[in-house]
This record gives sequence, structure tokens and C-alpha cells, in this order.
Amino acid sequence: MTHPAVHLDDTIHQRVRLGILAVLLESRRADFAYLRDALELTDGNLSQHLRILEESGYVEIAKTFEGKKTRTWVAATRAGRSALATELATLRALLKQVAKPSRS
Amino acid sequence: MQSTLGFNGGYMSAEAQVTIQLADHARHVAKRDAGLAWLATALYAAFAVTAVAIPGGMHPGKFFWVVAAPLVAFGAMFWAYSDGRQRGVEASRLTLVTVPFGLLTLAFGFGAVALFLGLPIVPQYGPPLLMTAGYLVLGVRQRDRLMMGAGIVSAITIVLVTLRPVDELSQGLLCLAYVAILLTARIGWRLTTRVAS
Repeated sequence: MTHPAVHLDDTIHQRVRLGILAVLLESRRADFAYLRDALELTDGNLSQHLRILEESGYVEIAKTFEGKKTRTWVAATRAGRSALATELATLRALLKQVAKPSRS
Repeated sequence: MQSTLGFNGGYMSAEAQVTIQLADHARHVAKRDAGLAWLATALYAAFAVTAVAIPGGMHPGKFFWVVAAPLVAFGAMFWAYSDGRQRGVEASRLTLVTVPFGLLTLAFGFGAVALFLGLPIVPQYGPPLLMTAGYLVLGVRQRDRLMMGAGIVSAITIVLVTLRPVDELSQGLLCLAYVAILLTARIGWRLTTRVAS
């Protein structure tokens, strides 16, 4: 039997990236400013994490023009939603494993 | 002697707990900001289905619940969706439309079958109860308190309108009270967000 930790996804195991996907799971999409404020990040930090998630195929980024302003929308892909569900399930399994009394 | 595995297990446990808490918090924030449209959409469905349970043919009171109240609730849903979008978080339009309309179809279909079979009371009270149950089940399944609240609001509406018939003025006031609930919830959330930030 393999240890649950083996199934952890390095890309979204990082807390900020996990937080981004968690926000996106509850909505169709969220804009850059909303994610930055909700997760209390700086613009540069959020950009960096979004780039990693986009390269992994977990989020899609689209820019729209509303009036004279550009708005950056971020949406989780099917792969991203699935990866988040797997990650959370793995973490919960890990907690269960650790909570079990040792046989030795 | 403490094993290395034991140390790692404890460390990973704390790490995993913090990560899960963070994910839950992030989901809660997004759910709060995108979720008001859900309450309005549930109200829309509740109003529409409650109209069926009002006895008698088409009269002004029934017209109010069939047309005016659902339109107000639909307007509130549209406003809540637009407001959320303006703030930077967009609810799923497809889900917002498919869930209430899916439940409405199920409820009315159920009522039509009961009517066809000639069952007593069921065609009148079956659809609203099915609608309420649908929202409660969805709320529990999604661990969404707002959705559960919507189910309860739906149940209260049904009880007020069908079991204790009231005049048109009271029904109008009831509808306004629901709009006031939506506005208060919105203002409350905005204030909470401001204080938190």
C-alpha cells in the first residue's frame, strides 16, 4: 500500500496556488484584483503563481476590455478542479493515516 | 526513541490541517461573494412553484405569485449576479439557470403526474415540497449554508402562502420583505468585507 503523500501534486500543494484554485472552484471565474485581495497577495506574487498554474493547465487566463480598462479573468480548468479535489482528498487521507495509532 | 516517520507524520499532519483550513477559508470567501445570486434564484423558484399551491383559478393574488413575485426575484438574481461580477467574482450562469429550472421542471412534472393519477392534495402541495427538499439536499451535498437557507426560505414561503392564505397586500409586503432580506444580506456582507480588509 502506498503512502497517501505520494499522491500530493507539487504544483498545487503550494498554499497560495491551492487557495487560488479553491476560490475558483466556487465561482465560474474571478478577476485578478479579487484573487489578490481575497488571498492577500501582491500583484507580482499572484502573477507568478498564476503563470505556474496556467503552464500546468490548471487555470485559463483571459483579458477583457470593459470601457477603457483591461480586466484579467481567471477560471479553473476541468483538470484544475479535478487536481484540487484529488489534493484535498489526499490531504484528508494523510490526516487519517497520521491519526491512526502506531502498530509498533 | 521517536521514529523519523512519527516526526514526519506529525509535521505533515499539521501542514495538511493548515492547508485544508486555508482552502476551506478561500472557498468560503468566494462562496460568500458569489452566492447571493443563489438565494435570489431559489426565491424565484419558490415563488413560481408556490403559485401552483394557491387554490382556485386565476385571481389577482395568484397572478401576483405567478408573475410579479417571480419577476422581482428574477430581477434580484440578475442584480446579485451583476454585483458579484462587478466585484470580481462571477457565479456560474449555467448552474444558476439550470438548477432552479431543473427543479421547477421536476416539481411541475411531479405535480402533473399526481394530477393525472387523481391523487388528492399531492398535486397542490407536492411540487412546493419537492422544490424545498431539492434545495435542502443540494445545500447539504454542497455544504452550502446559503443554499440550505434558500430551502428554508422556500419552505416558509410555502407555509405562509398556502397554509395560511393572506390578502394581496400582505403577500406584497412578504415579497418586499424578501427583497429587503436580500439587500440587508448584501449590505451586511459588504460591511463585513470592509471590516475584514
